[in-house]
Amino acid sequence: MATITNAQPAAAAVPAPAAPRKRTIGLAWLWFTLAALFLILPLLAMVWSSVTTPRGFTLNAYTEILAEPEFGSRFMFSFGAALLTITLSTLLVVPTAYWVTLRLPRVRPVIEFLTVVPLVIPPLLLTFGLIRFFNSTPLTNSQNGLYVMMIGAYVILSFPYMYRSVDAGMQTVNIRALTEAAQSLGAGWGIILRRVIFPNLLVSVLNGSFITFSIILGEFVVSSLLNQPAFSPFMLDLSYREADQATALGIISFVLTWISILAIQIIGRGRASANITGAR
Amino acid sequence: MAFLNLTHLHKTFGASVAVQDFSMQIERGEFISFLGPSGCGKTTVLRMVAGFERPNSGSITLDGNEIVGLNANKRNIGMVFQQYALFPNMNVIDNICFGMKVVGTDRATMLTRADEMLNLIHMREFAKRFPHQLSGGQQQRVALARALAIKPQVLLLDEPLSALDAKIRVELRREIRAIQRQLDITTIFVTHDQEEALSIADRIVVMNKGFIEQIGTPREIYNNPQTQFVASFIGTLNVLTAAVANRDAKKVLLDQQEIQVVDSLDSANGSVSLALRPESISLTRDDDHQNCVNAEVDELYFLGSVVRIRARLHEQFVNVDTFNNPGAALPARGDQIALYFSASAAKVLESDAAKAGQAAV
Repeated sequence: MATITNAQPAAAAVPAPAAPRKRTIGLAWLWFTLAALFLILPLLAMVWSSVTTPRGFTLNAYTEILAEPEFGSRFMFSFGAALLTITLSTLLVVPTAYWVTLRLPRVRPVIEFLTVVPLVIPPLLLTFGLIRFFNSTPLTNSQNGLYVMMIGAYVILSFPYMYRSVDAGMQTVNIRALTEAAQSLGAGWGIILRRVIFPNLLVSVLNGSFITFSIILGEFVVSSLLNQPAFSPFMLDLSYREADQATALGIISFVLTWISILAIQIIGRGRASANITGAR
Repeated sequence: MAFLNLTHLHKTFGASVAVQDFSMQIERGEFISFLGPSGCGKTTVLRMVAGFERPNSGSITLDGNEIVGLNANKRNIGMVFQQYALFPNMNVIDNICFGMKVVGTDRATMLTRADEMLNLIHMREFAKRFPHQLSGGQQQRVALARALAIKPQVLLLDEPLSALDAKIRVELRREIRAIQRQLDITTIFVTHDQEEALSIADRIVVMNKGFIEQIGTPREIYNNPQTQFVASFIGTLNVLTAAVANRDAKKVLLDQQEIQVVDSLDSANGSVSLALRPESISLTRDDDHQNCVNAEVDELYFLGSVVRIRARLHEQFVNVDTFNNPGAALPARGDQIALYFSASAAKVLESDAAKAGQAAV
């Protein structure tokens, strides 16, 4: 833009800049289109195959799957597990990130390394490890115990996303000054965390939650190995019996995940925009 | 015993010494300013009073009670930060009420007090605004109200005006002083801006490299700087080298021209440093201006109300300030001029060696 607005005399001598700019914009659009096709075509193919039969257009797969009683219960199971994971993960990660930022900045590289570990270890190994480690303890002896173990594994899986997001948020707010301001006003750690730190990190927590949420809704390995009635194993089951229904379910799960994320986002933005309304 | 006593405070961060042997007494209702360049330890002292840093040794008593062992949230000391540090998730009223809510004040008392505070800072109509909807100056006023709402025994201000525009800075400075007088609250104001410190404080503590250089009223600090550092840090100052001519008669040679001083030359050996304020030199003879030095005009700076003349004394330069008088003619570059000043205007500065000796005692 600068080349266009300033230096009129020079502009006549150098007409070249416009052409490369056009070319880069064209290239950018080309890449964007390719990436969009790559992401959208499979989805379109899925939708296509789920609504067509040799006899023509039909929504049977959708009506059948929605009528399936297990569909609701399985989805709600994973939905609940995701919410529980997000809650636990937040309670674990926010105070940790806070303490590291405030008091132990030297430990930060160590924690950052730890946040990568769950990404490197395959969920299969993680689950087997947990089963072996807690073998013949109450955790493996009952269905409730297995559920606890699954949530534990989910919290571990969510850790990288939650921590990184919260830590990034922590760097944008002046945590130290806010803490000291609260302290000088008489607040102890509990009040500072609850009334100052958490509310100001809400957006970061939500960002981490979106990713955690979609990971857990689509999570297969852990829940299947621990024999939990989660959403993904149900999808696999179904695809053995009814391929069309499974595809329809895939589409529905896409939409449901998007709606859920949108809902969380609206809740989060509702808070933020409450702050903005009333501005001039 | 004074209201706030700081006694022999020491603070080190790892190997670096931040504050050394800091002692002073502050009376109730006094407005004290800590002044010094960045890294001089002024903020560290403030943070020790607030309870955010613990001194390695020394004591702090407030109204007769030792507070070094107390956590920051148990000290009842209000603090205002350079970056405002308002809680972004709360509106103005909630920010002001925060401290009262923490101690469980009942709602009616709290709202009355918050209203008083809003009146004090003239921001009643902004009660429901959030910090990001306020200008820097407004935010800092809210921060001040928030700190005062808990009726603290001491108010600490950590460079509260540094992030603001020049005009707002002067306005808010006046407002802070007015509020401080109205509430009669003991206040410590940290700044690196000498004009700010001079204009606002009852007493100024000039600090350098963790030491106190001088404590005194703005007038004392400006007119009688006791160390070379204070002299050069406060105001514009000519520091000139002169040779001792006659120790007993207190005469020195400045650019081979003899001048009379008032201060003792006993500790000087051979040469001395003279401090001379630009505004204490005039271009016309006056009855009490017994010193006269010939110089050449090197450069003229027109500063509005003042014209600063840089005069050359062979190897040294002297700045001379004269009021801008539209009726009077100014010398031109290259003119020979005579500089007149009184014997007491030329201060003999304590040499650094002498000062170091004193500090060690």
